[in-house]
Amino acid sequence: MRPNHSPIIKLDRVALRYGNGPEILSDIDMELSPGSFSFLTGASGAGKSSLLKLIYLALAPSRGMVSLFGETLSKLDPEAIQLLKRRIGVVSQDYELIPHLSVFDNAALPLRATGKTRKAYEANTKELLDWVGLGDKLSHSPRTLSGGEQQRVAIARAVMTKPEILIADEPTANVDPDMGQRLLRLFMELNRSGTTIFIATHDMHLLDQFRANRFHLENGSLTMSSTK
Amino acid sequence: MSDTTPITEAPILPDNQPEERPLFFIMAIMSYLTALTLLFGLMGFRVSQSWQQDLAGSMTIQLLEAADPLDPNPGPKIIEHIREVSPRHKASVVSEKDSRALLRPWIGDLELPGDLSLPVLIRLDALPQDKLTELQSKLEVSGFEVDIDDHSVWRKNIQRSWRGVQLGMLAIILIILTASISISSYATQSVLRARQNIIDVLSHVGAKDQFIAKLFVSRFGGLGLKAACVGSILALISVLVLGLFIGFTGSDLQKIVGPKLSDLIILGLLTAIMGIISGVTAGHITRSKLRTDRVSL
Repeated sequence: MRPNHSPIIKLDRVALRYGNGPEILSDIDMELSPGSFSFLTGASGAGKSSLLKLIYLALAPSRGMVSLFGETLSKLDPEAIQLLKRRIGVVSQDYELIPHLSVFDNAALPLRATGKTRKAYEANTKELLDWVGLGDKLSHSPRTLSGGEQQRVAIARAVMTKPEILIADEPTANVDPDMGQRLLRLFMELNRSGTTIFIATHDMHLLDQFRANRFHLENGSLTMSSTK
Repeated sequence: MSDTTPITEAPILPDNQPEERPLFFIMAIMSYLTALTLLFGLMGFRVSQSWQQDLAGSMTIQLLEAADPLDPNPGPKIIEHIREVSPRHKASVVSEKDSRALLRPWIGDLELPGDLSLPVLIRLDALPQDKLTELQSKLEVSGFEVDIDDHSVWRKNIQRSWRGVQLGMLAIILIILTASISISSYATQSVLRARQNIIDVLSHVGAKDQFIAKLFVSRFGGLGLKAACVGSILALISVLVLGLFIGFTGSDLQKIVGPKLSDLIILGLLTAIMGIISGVTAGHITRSKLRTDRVSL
């Protein structure tokens, strides 16, 4: 069997504007291969988060075409889009944890949202939270956790459904360098199991330590700078 | 070390949030008003039915001209004719005191001169049409000129008035239910705004619109149901307390108008309807918001 070389993420002349404002992203062309590990860099306000939102389907492009897993999004109905989202894990900059839910419930949310029973997801969730080092805080409220711990809950939630793509927006922005390293190692481990990883960061120190594709966003345009 | 605290699955939407409380109170008030209107309506219906039954079961003969103008007491002769036609039907001459009492609604408490002669009235059980025709011809042959009132005009008037009251009540109930839909819709929008973070997270993790809408349907349906229960129970208590105050509790009137088991069933239905209104409205608003959010992306 021939290996599948078609891109898992493809953006073709994609542009984005909010309302009637100016285009914050213009003519973005980008392709990511399955199982790749890539960084997205750029100054604050360059549009990194917006580009990630286009990929994890929280925003629709003003023009151009976004394809995921070989499917062109503009041709899909809302239900199909929601099903595609289940194949993407997202770790956003502000973690987006639900404060009244415990660490366990937050991490298990993707499985609960797909109608799985507690019995079906309990063991997996505990195992995953153990893996991110939070096995001793299952019943804790996210409000009682440190920034790094909250980040790890968000990661556990993002990988709960064993996604084919993991997108993280500034995952090390609010944690100390040591925790940043540990989080990155988690991502590398996921990548080794076949997950495509795409991380937005402006932490140059971090970038220098990992071999990965690098995309750079400046003035709304994207350039692929290097593969280190 | 593993956390061994038993973990209970918390609801995805938090319970007892401050923004949901106004909805509870307003829905309870709406249900109270609807239940009160319904209960009074049902009481009115029973009174009207009881009046109509009474009227349909009796007739009144008014003597216009007696066979013998010099006879001071022609009533018993007419009763004889009635007995001839139908011995089983009850008939009696209305006493002068009762005749005067019948005039009171028209002329008030005006003192009538004692020597003012009042028309002779005979009250009898309602006769079937063939017997009535027979009686009319017998009286005519005997020289009596009478007016037989089968109370159909009264019954029609009561029916017409009751229909007016029914329409009025229906209008009130419809207004309240429409207002309840608007209130539910407004409250859902406000809670959706407050829970936008949860909706966003659910959407990111691939929850379908149906799943998200279901959360709001069960939350608001349950809230509406609880509020409607409170409103209906308070309305029932109000009617019972009102009965004590106006003094029909323990009277014959209570047998007619007092709350019945069927009223409780109707109140139960109303409670369910209010819950359904809240739930369905919440579901509709949630789905439209999710659709709008997608369009505006």
